[in-house]
Amino acid sequence: MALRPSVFETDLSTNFNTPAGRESFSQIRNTPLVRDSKNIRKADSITNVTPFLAYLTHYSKIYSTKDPHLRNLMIRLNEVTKKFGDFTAVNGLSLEIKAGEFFGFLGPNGAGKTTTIKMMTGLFTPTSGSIAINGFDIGRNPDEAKFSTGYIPDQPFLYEKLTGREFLYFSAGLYRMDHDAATASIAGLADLFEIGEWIDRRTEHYSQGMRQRIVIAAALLHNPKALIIDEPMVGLDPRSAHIVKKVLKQKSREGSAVFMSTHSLPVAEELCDRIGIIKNGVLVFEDSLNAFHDFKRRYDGKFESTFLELTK
Amino acid sequence: MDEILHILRFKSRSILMRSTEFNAANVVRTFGSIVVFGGFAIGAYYSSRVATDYLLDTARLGLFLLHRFMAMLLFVFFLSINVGNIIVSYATLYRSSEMEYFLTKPIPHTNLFLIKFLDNFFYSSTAFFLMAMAVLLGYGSHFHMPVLFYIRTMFLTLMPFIFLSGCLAAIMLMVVMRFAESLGVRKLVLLLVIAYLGGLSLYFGMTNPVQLQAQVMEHFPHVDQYFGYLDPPVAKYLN
Repeated sequence: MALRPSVFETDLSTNFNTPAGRESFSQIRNTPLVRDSKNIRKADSITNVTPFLAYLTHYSKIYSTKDPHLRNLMIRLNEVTKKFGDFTAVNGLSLEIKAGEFFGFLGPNGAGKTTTIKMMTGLFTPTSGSIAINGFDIGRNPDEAKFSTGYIPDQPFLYEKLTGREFLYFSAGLYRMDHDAATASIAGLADLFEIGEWIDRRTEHYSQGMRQRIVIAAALLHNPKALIIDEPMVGLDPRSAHIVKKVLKQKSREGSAVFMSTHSLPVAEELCDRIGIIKNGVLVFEDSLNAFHDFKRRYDGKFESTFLELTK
Repeated sequence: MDEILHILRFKSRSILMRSTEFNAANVVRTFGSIVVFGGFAIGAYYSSRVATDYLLDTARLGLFLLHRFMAMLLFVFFLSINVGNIIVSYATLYRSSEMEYFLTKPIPHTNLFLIKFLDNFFYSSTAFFLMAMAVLLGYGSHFHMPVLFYIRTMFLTLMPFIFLSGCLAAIMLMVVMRFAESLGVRKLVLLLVIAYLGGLSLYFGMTNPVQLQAQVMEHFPHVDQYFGYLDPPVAKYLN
């Protein structure tokens, strides 16, 4: 069988935002993930067979287990501690986030939110404890864990001289997506994020909101099972914020586990199913939003004052 | 390999777009770069040629001592590239948002290292390479060397020389970062500076041509011309 052209051979001058592209988008979106399909074979032939074997072993374990909880568990932090010299940034943090769950991670500045996210994305190694994404330990199987993750940082990175479309193709290539899959995915996300009008302009001319939408689109290209987001609403105008919130909620409904760090209490209240509040590296509250509402009634019934009380 | 090519393709596209963009700032920058680098290259060429002419024809230093002198210059050159690479590597590996972006993607660390090494090598060694070629032209023009000599020296001597220095820099930086947490960055940098200065001083002490010349000329006043004949032809590439 002939291989489909890969994203590495993409003709960047072509406008792929066509009806045909959009039509195939829905088909592609319904096909299994990059790592679940035959693409994995191509992906691993690029590097070596070890990740493929690890993947098979992992899934045989997951599907042979009778525990549906483990099957649904997308993000798991087990007694995670991070120390910088004598300073403990995160202390014994344990969390479990299931597929389709929207988890809000709140806390004051310097509480350990970004450190936690950096450990979850492989940027920091925990001093002790373990982190698993989609069942893959980020320390032992980093590539497999990262294939299951879409990470949206607070400071978006873009190549200033590339267009938004080029950057999306670039990102798709890093997840070893086929050219067709990438094209369809980009077309679909362009519609979803309403970026079609300016996607072919260089990113240096983008506003903060436009940049953030491109970065979020890039993180969603490979349809990740776990989304890790650091302050997604920073610097967004109401329109961009509305679109971003809508898409994130939609991803959660489609079955992705969403882990969102935010300072914005209204955003957390609006989007999250469950929230966790961290203070000085320790989780001081972790429960459903309903439970939090019950909890806040003990104070003056306001989200903000309850949060301030917990993080005092 | 596909992955590396993919990243390099988009990175080079981005760099190319930046350097070929036609605007006032770019024109001024390009013109400034040409003037500065061109000026340095021409200066290095003439200095090298005049120095070679003077040392061989007027001072009658002889090829042996000239090559010893050149070896010392190349040692300093090697260390300069090495230190330059360490600094640029630190900036591109440990203080770069691009690196942070790559680290969150499923890219094997070996590929990532290779990409950043090439990146760093390109940024930190291009100017050194230009200067070295200018010096080589000045040296070669004294002997009326053929074009093949310059091509051969460029690919078989200069490029591996710069590459080795870059590799050593990457290794040293990783050693520093490895022990930075336990020993402290300041201590490590201080140790590194002492090691470099010590190495430089030791090398100069061992190969001091002035001392060598004084001792040799005292006993054998006409020996320099014989050394010139005895120096194997390959030595000029090794030096």
